[in-house]
Amino acid sequence: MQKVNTVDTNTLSQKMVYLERETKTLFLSGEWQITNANVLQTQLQNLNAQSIKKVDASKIEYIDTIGMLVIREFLQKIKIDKPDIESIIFKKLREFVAIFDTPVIPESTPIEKKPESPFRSLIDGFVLFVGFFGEITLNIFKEFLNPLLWRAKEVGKQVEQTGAKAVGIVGLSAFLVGLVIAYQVGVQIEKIGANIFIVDMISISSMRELVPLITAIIVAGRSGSSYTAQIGVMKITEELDAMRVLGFEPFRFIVLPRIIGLIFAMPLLVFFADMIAMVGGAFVANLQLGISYHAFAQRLYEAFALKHFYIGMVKAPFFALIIATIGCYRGFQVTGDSQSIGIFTTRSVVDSIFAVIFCDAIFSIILTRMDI
Amino acid sequence: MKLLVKVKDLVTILGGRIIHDGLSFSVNEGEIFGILGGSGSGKSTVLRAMTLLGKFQKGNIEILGYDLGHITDEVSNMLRLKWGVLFQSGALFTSLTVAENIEVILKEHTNLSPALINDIIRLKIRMVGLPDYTANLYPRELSGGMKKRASLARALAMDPKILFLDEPTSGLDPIGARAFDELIVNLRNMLGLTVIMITHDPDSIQTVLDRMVIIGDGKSLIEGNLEQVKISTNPLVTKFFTKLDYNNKT
Repeated sequence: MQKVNTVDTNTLSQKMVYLERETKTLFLSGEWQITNANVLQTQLQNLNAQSIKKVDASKIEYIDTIGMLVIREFLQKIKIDKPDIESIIFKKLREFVAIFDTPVIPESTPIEKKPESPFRSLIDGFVLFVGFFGEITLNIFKEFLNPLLWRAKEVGKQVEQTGAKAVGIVGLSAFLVGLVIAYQVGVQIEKIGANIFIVDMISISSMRELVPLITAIIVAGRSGSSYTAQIGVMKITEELDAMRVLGFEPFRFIVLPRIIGLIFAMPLLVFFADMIAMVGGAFVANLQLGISYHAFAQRLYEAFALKHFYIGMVKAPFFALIIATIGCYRGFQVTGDSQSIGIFTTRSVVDSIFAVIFCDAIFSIILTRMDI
Repeated sequence: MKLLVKVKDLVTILGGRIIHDGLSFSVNEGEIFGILGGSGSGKSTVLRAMTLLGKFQKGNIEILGYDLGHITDEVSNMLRLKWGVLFQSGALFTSLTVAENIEVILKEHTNLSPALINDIIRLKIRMVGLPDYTANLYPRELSGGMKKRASLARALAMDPKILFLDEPTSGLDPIGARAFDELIVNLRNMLGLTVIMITHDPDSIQTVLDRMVIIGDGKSLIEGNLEQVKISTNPLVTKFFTKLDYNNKT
């Protein structure tokens, strides 16, 4: 949103602050308000304090509290004992500060609950979903394509929350994935004496399919659910409405940073998990089949086609988009009571895991058809 | 007297239900105007429509000379800064302190210097009768009445021309409620605000409101000051006041 006082009021405010050199009187006039307060403040600051003996504010047509603060600060600075202005405006200002001082005792209000038919909410849900995607698409065209409009700080915070803080659990899971595949494959492969092929099996299956999938599932449970719960609570407490009336579009301030943040964080997590899964695999290969770490690495270098790694990485941002979108969308669906937060958080996780698997299947079909 | 808000033949349909069916009323500059009516009569809905939070199907809402049905995004953004809204539950940003709740608006929408912003925050907090130390408290650490005052301070951050209040005294005890009423009248007198409030509180209706509209059956049953409204022979209006008096006695 446009800042309200970027308007160039220089010419206007020069007349609003006018110093008559002969009489050393400062004339203030016009409308002193929030929209031009900073310009007027600079004007006043640039004046030479010694050359003012009197301040005449009788020509001020309108003044708000911010205008008053600017003038008060200026009067304190120039240390004029009895400016003419005192009687007109500062009677008001002193009143503001002095009058109200009554303590208030709180009382709790009961929460109302209303039943809703499931069919109705299904239709509402669909309508909301279409609207939500429309808004995302619009906003992505308007802002996603222009990195200058991103809330960089907010996006960074989301990358930290969803990426950096998930490293532990994602790493541990990936290690276990590598370990489990290695064990299961190892038993079979030992029977036919093709020990070294365990490297191919582990690397392809984990980097191409399992690691991105497991990472996505963990992120869905970890971050998708928190998106839903956060937004849901903000909706219940009318915070979202408050943001709208104050000119903060929730899509720009809440949804986009989460989607963009996760799109950044997810590939990083998958890359990290890929490496850890290899470590887990190598560990078991060494333990069970006696393949040295060196031989494991050698074989990996010779036999592993990089395209499998790339395919896994390409999937990551798509999974991120799915998880963040569903998480935020379900958050906006939360209604009135705190129970619905639980319901929609559950739905958010279940839906996003399903959607991730569905998306993975589509990737498999397309890539197989394309012979990749 | 200048007309600031004009609602004309408003029709609102929410989820297939007709909420307003030709609702009209107008608010003059500088007055405290009440929107009254039974539960579900669409008081909050018209307030949401006036603050650009809700949509309406037919009719006009004209605020500060702009027809809300036909305005560009730029104008609506400009208008939003010209009014303040106090939500029923306060709706402070829970992750920010009281001071930050006010600061974030000024930082986003103005170029004022940090020192001046700090002064504004202190002034607003004092104006609503909160002690200075509340500035650094989070909303969860405030009592119900303090929350209301803090959100009023936030609503006043940009020195709005119009203040919308959604049941400002609900959830407050009688003493706190009267204090809040007094605060609103004082603020109106000092800042020259125009206040539009939804209220159920019989005391507020008698002591605070200059004029009011009573909504029933989706229409405005009657509009005027307390004397004019009380002598109305409309059965819905008399019913409304009998109920109020009854509640008042119990």
